[in-house]
Amino acid sequence: MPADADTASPHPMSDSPTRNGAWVVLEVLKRHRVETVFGYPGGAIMPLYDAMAQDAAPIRHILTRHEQGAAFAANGHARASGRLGVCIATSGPGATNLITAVADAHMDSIPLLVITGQVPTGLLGTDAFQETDVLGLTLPITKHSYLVRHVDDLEAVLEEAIHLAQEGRPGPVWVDIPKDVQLAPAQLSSGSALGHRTSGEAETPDEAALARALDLLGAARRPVIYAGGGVALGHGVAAFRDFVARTGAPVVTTLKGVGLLPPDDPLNLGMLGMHGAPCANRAVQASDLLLVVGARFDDRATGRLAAFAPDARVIHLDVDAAEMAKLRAPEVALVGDLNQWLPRLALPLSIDDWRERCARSRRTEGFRLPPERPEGGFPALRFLDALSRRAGDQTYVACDVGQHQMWVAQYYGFHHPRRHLTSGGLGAMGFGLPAAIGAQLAHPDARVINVSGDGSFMMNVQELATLGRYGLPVKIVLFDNQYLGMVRQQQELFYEGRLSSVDLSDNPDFVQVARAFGIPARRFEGADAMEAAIRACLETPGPLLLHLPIEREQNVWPIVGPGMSNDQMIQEDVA
Amino acid sequence: MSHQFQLFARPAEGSLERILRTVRARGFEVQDMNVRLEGGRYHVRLRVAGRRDPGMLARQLEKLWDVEHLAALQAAPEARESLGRVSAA
Repeated sequence: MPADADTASPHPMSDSPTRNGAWVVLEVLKRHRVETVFGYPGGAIMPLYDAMAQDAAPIRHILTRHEQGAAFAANGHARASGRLGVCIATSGPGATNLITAVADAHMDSIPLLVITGQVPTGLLGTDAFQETDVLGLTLPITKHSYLVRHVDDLEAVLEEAIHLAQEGRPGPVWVDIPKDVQLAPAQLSSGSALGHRTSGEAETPDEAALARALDLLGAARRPVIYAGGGVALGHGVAAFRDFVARTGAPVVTTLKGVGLLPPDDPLNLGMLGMHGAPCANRAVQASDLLLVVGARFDDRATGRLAAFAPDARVIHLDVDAAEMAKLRAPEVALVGDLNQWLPRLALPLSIDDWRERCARSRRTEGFRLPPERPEGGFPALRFLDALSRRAGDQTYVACDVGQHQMWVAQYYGFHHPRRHLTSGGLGAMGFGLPAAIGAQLAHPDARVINVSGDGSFMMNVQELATLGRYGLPVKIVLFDNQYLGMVRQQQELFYEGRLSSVDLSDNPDFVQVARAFGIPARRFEGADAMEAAIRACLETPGPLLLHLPIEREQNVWPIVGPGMSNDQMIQEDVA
Repeated sequence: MSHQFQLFARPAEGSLERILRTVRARGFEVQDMNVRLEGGRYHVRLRVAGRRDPGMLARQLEKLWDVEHLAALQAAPEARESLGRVSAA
């Protein structure tokens, strides 16, 4: 964004860094071992960028080509690393451009610190150049947000913001800092201790509830564990796997829970919900007890809520008390750290018949690759299945949003939920490429693949320049059906086939686009090209875009229609 | 159905807006609201109407970082039952 012409002037350059509010921001970030930040400069945030320029040991700043790219990259960095992500932008349009990616972090409980410049305090509320009410804009999409009016408050606010973003149920916290506050002389305090409450620690173990939960578990004949993104967010994957092994209960996962169990674990029934595995949905619908772990009864998981698991009692474990009875009242609510609850619930269950029934269903109604269709274009599903078997368990896959996102969840075999970066709650197209950039910077030696569609890819295509600038070896797998495929599929199924504004047949030549940004690119067409595409994806050093034209009318199966029960899955052969 | 809450909140910038937007976004309508700043905190009395579970609203309000304490003052018996861990004055 262009620099503004306000009344605040920067300090003159000197040999030692100017000790001002901007310097405080950097010092606090370093105190918390923040090594990488993502951002885009502009007028009201120039003091912070000037402080970076003066810093003898600067935090690495990744310049993206759009503020949304910066926030999604920080978001992807946090998802892949399990640590705080940080993004920076200027006031006005810089701040508003961050909004989508911050809303995404809010929906998916990603710890993010968002720092924006603001017009000087004397101009607040005057409709100044590049002024927007950032605090007001961010109320619904953050865990908390601050406007810092006095430099003396800045350090404490930043400390609280960093703490708050990561404690309890994580989320984005936004700190808006007027330009004069950044420029005001400042010192650091001697310590960072704060006396604020922590929402995640407010709960004390409820022994009566635990006893009730154990009674329900012991009495259950058809229990199912319904697990979501909260398990990995709570650093509870090991405890969860141990719990599953000890109870022997079948498991279904949400989109964000994919990878909680290895794909070949016999207790793993797969993803439930709108595009879930039939065996997962059937098990939930037949269950007499749902043990809900780090999940929130999202409508994409439950289908019509009133018909969801109609015979099941519910035990709900979550760090967020506000999720209890938000959508479905549990018989037992266990609020707090699942690492503490799960070992105490690990009761071996005598459910051999039920386990065998689920295992049979898994064999016959799990996700199965459709028959080969040589005339059907590039075989996207087979490619994802084969790629996941050969790419290694440590590969990170960042999806965009749409049909390809569901195919990845269905057919890519994840071994840990942190390897699967996907915009679950918000469903934000444009997430994938910048999130992959963030993941690659968090794990420079890891293999990182962005799986995208032709609609989503165009939403943050400018970040190809970021990929090129930093020489990141991200591979972009671009499935191109020249449609907004998920919308087209639903128009065909639920709007009597009236296609409306979904045709993308005027897409640019993606190979030429990538090359224009300095990114190598290759096109692979038809079923015979699959092996070459896999080898190119796995063996090419540096970045590569794989342009994969797929069958235009290919759909995601099964699908549960809007307002329908998960019993009413539409399968390909009956559509 | 009308429900009444008493909240104590830090007088941080935006704290009253957060309370109001939570009420609106979670499906309730403000019928009456009284706020005074006393002893360095907002004392808020709030009467809302809505068809959803007031316990859900209470938990969402209590989750707000600025809200230090929340009590349900008046609600239908079944609603008070559903308020769960939120204290009922």
